[in-house]
Amino acid sequence: MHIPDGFISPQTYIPAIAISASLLALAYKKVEIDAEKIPLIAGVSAISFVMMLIAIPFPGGTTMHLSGIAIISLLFGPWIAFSSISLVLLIQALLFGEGGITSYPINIIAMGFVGSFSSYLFYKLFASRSKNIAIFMAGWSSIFFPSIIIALVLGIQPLIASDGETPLYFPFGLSVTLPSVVIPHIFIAIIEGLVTLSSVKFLRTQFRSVFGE
Amino acid sequence: MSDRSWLITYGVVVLSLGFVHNEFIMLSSIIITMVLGGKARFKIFKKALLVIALFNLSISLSYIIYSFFIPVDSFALVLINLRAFAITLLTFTLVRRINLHKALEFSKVLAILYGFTYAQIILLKNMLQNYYDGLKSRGASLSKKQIQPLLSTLFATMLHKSSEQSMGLRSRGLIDD
Repeated sequence: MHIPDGFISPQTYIPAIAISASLLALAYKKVEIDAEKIPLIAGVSAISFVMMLIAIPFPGGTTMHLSGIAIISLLFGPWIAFSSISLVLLIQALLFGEGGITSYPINIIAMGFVGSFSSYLFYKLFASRSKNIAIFMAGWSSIFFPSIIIALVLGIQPLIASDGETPLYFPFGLSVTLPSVVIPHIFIAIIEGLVTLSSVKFLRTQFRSVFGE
Repeated sequence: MSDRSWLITYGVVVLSLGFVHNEFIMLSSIIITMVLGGKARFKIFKKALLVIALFNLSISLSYIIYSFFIPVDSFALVLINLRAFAITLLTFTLVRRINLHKALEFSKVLAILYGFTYAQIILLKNMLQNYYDGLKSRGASLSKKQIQPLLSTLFATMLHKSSEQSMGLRSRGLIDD
């Protein structure tokens, strides 16, 4: 889901830098960084990074990588999840070229902020009915909503940054990006929801004193 | 030039490249970056090329197929790929040239956070690799049943390491609570 470099216009990434910087500043305040929180955020970031490397096998020989955004958001809260995912995305962009530097603010708004908060809010929304449905919905929303943001941002590029008919950045409009990005992610989100459900339930049981509700 | 100055220069150049729509300027930027890459320039070049191939190939191919049906300007494809390559090459060259931990020292919290995260990533990544190697040596592969114990081990290690680092920070008085 990461947007690489070269696809996003300055008309998009400059406002996104301002928004993401404000969100990070707010996260810094909300998390109340202290000697306990710094190693915890570092650890959570590291575990999200490693979770993204775990390939889960599925029938037909295919595999899918965990995003872990909802797991982190439900276990540690959305602000710590947002800070950690932002840090992971920065390390991925700088060291591995996964996701660009110019698109970094958009990636952290979509995956870090929208992903963490949609999962947290969906969990709260459904928790009174059924904990299992709530955890599944949290996992599902952590993939589905960021994919909409990514599709919208990519799809508006030809509209806002073209030289006549020639696109200067991402070349396809909303009619292409919305179905091609969002539709596959509806199914990926279902798998993420199932993995989130089994992982969060297991971790809450295994580490009852730390994550127990 | 200090690591911090390199980081600021890099930020300015990357942001500026976003405004450039001239393939010759992009090519010049790639050449200058390669000169700055020193002995590792070809290794960095290869890595950047691989990343661009991995992430931009599907878009480039779609655009080429699209051009069979609707007349499009091939300049757009060249420009997008050159810009992506120039920025990626610049990023990898920067990371190779500077010590990121030192460059972030203007903020104590940021520098410690980066150091701890990097250290934990290496630790957990090695654990994951050992787990995969263990499975491989037994002729098995990761199944859904094994994901839970794997996650449990990773979380236990992370929580233990975090609490250890927290005590380290407190005992050295590095962060005021």
